[in-house]
Amino acid sequence: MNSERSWDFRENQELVASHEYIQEGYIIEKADFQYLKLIKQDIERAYFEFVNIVNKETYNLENAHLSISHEKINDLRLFIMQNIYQNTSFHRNYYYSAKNIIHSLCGNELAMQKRPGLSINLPQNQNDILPIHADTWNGVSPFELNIWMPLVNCTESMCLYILKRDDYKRRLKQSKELLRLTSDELYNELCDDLTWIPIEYGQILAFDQSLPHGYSLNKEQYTHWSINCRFKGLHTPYWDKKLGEYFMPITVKNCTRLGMDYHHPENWI
Amino acid sequence: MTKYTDQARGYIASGDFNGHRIPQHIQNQIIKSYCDANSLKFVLSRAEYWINGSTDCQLWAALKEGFKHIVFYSIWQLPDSENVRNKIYDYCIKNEIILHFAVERMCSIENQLAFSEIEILIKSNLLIVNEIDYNNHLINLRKLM
Repeated sequence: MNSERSWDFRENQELVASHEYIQEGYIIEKADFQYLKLIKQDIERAYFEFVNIVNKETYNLENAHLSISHEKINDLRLFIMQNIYQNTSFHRNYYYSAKNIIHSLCGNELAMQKRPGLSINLPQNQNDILPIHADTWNGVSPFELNIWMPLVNCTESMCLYILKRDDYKRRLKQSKELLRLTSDELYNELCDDLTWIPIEYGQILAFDQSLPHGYSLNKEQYTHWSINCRFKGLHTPYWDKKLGEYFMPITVKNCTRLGMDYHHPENWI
Repeated sequence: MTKYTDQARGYIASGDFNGHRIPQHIQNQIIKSYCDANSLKFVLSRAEYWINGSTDCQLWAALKEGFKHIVFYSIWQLPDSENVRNKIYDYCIKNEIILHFAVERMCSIENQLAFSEIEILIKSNLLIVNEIDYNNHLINLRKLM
């Protein structure tokens, strides 16, 4: 792929991953399981604590709908998020569980989302639908990589759906009015072109959030659990989501640290 | 030594700070909400003076009042000068004062490591905002690819 005079020194494995990501808009990789396990444990611990507080019988994550009512789902989600973001050990495990693909697609001097998003979609709960959208439509930088991890096996309507890059380009070309539609209208308009991405616990999905995506109604028998977190090159452009309020610098390298603190000698000549 | 251990003095900006301009009552609401979520008793904020680019007159007044916690609306209210920031950190460590930043949901536990992480964040942001001209950089980069 690289000619002898090329300046593109990316390794072959990285080029293959990049090609698939560009082609499809996403790529599925294996998570580093030792860290993924810790992520799931943290979430399960908080979930069990919440269920105990509301005095319900506890089931595993897939069967959370047997313990949690539709009305309580947002309380549960906020409770878990409050619980797991007390310190940065959850974030550290998240980064390490997906480090290879993040480094391949994004780089190694990184900013990471401070509060990853947690999705819990109970079967047949209309409120859990995530309307179709692209994050870049709302001020998110296209330099970001979304690392999405299922905590249960996801099939059919439990999956995240995405409009693949070629389809998105084609549909935009066909109708410039597409983005004037409401999200329901847009979903109906694009439905036949959408791809629901089946994925198992133990895998991670790296996807391009500048492509339209969302969750439809969960029509399966089990509860969907997933977590999503954005990473970007620390020095790439930020749009509305800024460093500090939304992102934190997680792998600032030594030369950058030295450069930041460098002072030119005054009056040295 | 701090006297008021469970109380948190708010610290808000007047006018622009670091390219932001937020009405003071909104800043106070964000600080109050942060205090509620973190079991701190909110004491009405001191508003920084808006004179000659002042960034630390009222901050020093707040630091010397004896509150254990000072809650900034945002980390970007910290003074621009690294030397001045270091003086503030040293004073906080010596007097066991914890700085909180409501928008960023951050706080400095009273040690040097916490403050060094705050500095990394500030310097990373300064680098991005002041040193990188993204438009030209990306145009030039594309030409070389």
